[in-house]
Amino acid sequence: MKERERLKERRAISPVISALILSAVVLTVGGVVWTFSQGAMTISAEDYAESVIDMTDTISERFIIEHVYYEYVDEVPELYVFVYNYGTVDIEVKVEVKGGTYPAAEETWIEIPSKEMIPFPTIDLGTIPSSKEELNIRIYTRRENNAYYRYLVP
Amino acid sequence: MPTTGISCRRGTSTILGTIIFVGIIFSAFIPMMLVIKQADTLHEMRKHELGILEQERGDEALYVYVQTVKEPPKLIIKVQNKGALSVNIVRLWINDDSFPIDYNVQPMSSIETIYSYTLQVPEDDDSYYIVVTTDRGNSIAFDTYLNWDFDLGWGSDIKLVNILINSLPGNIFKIKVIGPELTEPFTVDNETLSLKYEPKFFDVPIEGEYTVKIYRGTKEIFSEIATISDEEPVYWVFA
Repeated sequence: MKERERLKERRAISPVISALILSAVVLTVGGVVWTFSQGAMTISAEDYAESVIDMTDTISERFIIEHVYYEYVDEVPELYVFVYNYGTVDIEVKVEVKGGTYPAAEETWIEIPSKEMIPFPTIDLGTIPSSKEELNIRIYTRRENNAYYRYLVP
Repeated sequence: MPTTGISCRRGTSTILGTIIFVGIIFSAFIPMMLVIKQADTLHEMRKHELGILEQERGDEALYVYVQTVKEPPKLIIKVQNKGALSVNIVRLWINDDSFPIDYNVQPMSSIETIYSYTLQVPEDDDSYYIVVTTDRGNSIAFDTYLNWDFDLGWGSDIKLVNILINSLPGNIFKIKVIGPELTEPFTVDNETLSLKYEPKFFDVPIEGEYTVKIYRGTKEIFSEIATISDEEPVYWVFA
């Protein structure tokens, strides 16, 4: 009986060592959690800030189709479109007219810096529009904003 | 004795855990919240600025006039700012040619000349279309047809009484433009507005005073005298 009680009171390691081990475990786990949470929250904050800046740029886009005219040059029906970016952010645009998109290449966009007006590259309409035909011109940006213009062929 | 030892160790871990938790709050969570709050504030500020820009864009009241000179054939482009905001003109269009301009027109200004355009080789029956663009993205056209004729010089043979009714879409009006003696009155019966601000144009034959009357049903709701002259061939009525 006495032997059993004596054995119960025995410890495998000293209290000082066990306290050290426990503290080390807490510090290690805590440090890992700290590092992980700091990294995760930094990434979350950066992602959020980036998405808000993107959204701000999207709503900041302001542009108009300032002028359009049509010419029949060397048997080619050509349309000239002038876009004015009066907003505070630079934009990248494409034009859509008569079912065609210009520039046609998917990754090619026309850049218009803020407060600039640029003539769009000449658009070859392919078929000759008839007099008084209505051309619906749509300009859209990479950020998916639109501007429309209705042009009556003279 | 063993009980005291365990609670002591628990106390150490609790203190360490609390320090780590507080550390995480201060070094990760609070900076993240500050960044998010700052981004939101910038977004709201931008929205507010854009709201002001749109408001100012709508409030611009720039009028464009063109004076014609016969010898040498010339167009003198003038503007007047009748609004409460100053307007920056960035570009002038004469037909399909653009001319960059940097001109500021103060609010409630008198008529100011912004550009003088001498026609190089005018051809008979050439027509000219003048548009002014402002930095807020408004394009204002001179609404009178300008035509060059070798014999007559500048001709602007269109005389118009334009009527703009501010009413809800779908309302039905009767518009009567009664001209000077010997001219037939122009009457438009049951004119339905499809847009809130939809102008109606009346091409009148001669100079003189025209009385514009607008009826709703049989009741006359508006009357104004529009004077058409060589100097002012286009008269706008805002009803």
